[in-house]
Amino acid sequence: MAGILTVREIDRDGVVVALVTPTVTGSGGNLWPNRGEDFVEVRSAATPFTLSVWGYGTIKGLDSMARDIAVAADEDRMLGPFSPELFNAWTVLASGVDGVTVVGTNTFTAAAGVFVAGHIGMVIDITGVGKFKVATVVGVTEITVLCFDGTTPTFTAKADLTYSVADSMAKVTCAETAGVTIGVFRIRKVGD
Amino acid sequence: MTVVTLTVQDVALAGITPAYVAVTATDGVQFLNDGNTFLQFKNTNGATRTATLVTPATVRGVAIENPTVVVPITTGDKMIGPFAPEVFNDAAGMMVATVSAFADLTAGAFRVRPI
Repeated sequence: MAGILTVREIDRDGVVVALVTPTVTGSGGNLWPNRGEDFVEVRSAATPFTLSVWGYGTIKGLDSMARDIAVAADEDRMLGPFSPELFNAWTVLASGVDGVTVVGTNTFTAAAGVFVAGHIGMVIDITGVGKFKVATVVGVTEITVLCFDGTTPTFTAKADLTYSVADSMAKVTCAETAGVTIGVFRIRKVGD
Repeated sequence: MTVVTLTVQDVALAGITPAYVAVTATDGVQFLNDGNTFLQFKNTNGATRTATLVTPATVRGVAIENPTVVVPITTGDKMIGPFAPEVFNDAAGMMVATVSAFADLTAGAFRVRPI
């Protein structure tokens, strides 16, 4: 299963640089909802390794934008930004057939327990109901959603719904994870 | 004044190895600020360091408060920004951050260029 990297926003209050252990290669890599303003910071330990940035776009039929970055031992690297049209892929992060819309609310539940905090802001496609933005993750079995114009939908009661949570994501994989830490940062725009 | 001038490092697709320089006085650091740049402080001292972000601008003659950021002890590592040039830049286009103490404190300035 892929790991979702939390994008940490740099602001004038100062963000603590907290990096996490990457997901091992071969299990889906490390994904984040890249908006083209982000950079990845990776720190190695005693073992050099290759960080692979996945590319999906083509230019005049030539693929791909994928690139391998050699990270030396005990090195700190910052890389980016990543153009979404070249480095992002529409990626389904969770899906199921056990969805329920709660009558009179904007609450959607799934007994399988597939929701995580990283899904906030992503798109949920509920077959026969519509597409919405994930507003809050109440727990692994429950979320609330909003329409894309920011309004709150009011559901009727439906069950056994097919659904998928997805977003446009960039991906990096690390050939080594022992002692390696990684994070994604986005500098807030002036005035935000 | 013994303010340290930081060279802004552009984050690149191929990756850069970020460089940090020692802060040598409470006068702190400065860098050419374009509004897309952030400042990073690393503190290995057992005491916190407070960075004061200097705002030379005024509104109708009234000074704008200088925000402060505390860098934690020992492994303190903070990224701070962005800085609106019309608020934070001096006449030379520099953004200045003074510090409460400078021992064991390093800093770097980084820019993520818009695509």
